[in-house]
Amino acid sequence: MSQQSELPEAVKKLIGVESPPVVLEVEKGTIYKFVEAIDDPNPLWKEEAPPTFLSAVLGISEPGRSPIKVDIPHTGNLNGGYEWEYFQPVRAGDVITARSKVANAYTRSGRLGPTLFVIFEITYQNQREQLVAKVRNTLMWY
Amino acid sequence: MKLPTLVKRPTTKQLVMYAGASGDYYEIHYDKDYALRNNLPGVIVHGLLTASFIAQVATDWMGEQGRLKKFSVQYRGMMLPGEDCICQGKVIRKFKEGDEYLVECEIWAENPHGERTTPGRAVVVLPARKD
Repeated sequence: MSQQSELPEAVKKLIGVESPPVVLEVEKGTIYKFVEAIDDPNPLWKEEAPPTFLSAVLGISEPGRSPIKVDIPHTGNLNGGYEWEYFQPVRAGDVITARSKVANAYTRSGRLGPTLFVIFEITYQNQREQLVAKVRNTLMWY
Repeated sequence: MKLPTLVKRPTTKQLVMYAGASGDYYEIHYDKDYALRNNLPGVIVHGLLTASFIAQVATDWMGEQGRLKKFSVQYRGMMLPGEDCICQGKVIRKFKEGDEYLVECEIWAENPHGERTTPGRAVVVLPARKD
């Protein structure tokens, strides 16, 4: 399709690429400090991590943390947002494995000029090999 | 049906706490000179922190027996510390999927100028009513 043909080679090569796994041992203190920072007094978070925890602490699509590098000349980089689906709670003591892959990439003309959109899909599994959450993160380079 | 409004007042101190708790040390969130050099009005709230605020609208409302099944946010604008972050929500759909009773809500964060900088959606699972 015409939009795919405008993609830089460096980006076309990334579509479908899976990252190596990134592992986090979830500590009680990590959850506690996160809950304190977001200032959410819900007693639920004494037992499980709040919904943004995984992307905040183990958000492996972000350019600074991503094992998959989008290496193109650009002025800036923006985060378009996230879509999360939750399957199991995250608790202190869990060992979470994150894997990301580039699900899609396309270019569009936007407010900031020609913009590259890259959609990352991240899966999080716990030590029981249960799927804990799935996330789609849209990142933009302009 | 409207969900209860939640007003957050992020401070620069909270941005520092969030940076430490998340590991997001991007300077635009705590280094004012850096933010100004990058054409920002000052330090800005981390996107995921604003997302945490709007998630709280849904998780406060769903109660201890509720469960958040899906949640999405779009980053459309910036939120600044020292300003109110007005988080709201409303029910848009109630439905049943298999054995689960689900409610879909529109949730969002507004700045004091009424701009919806961070729109989102949440789907919560509620325990079955005993009719």
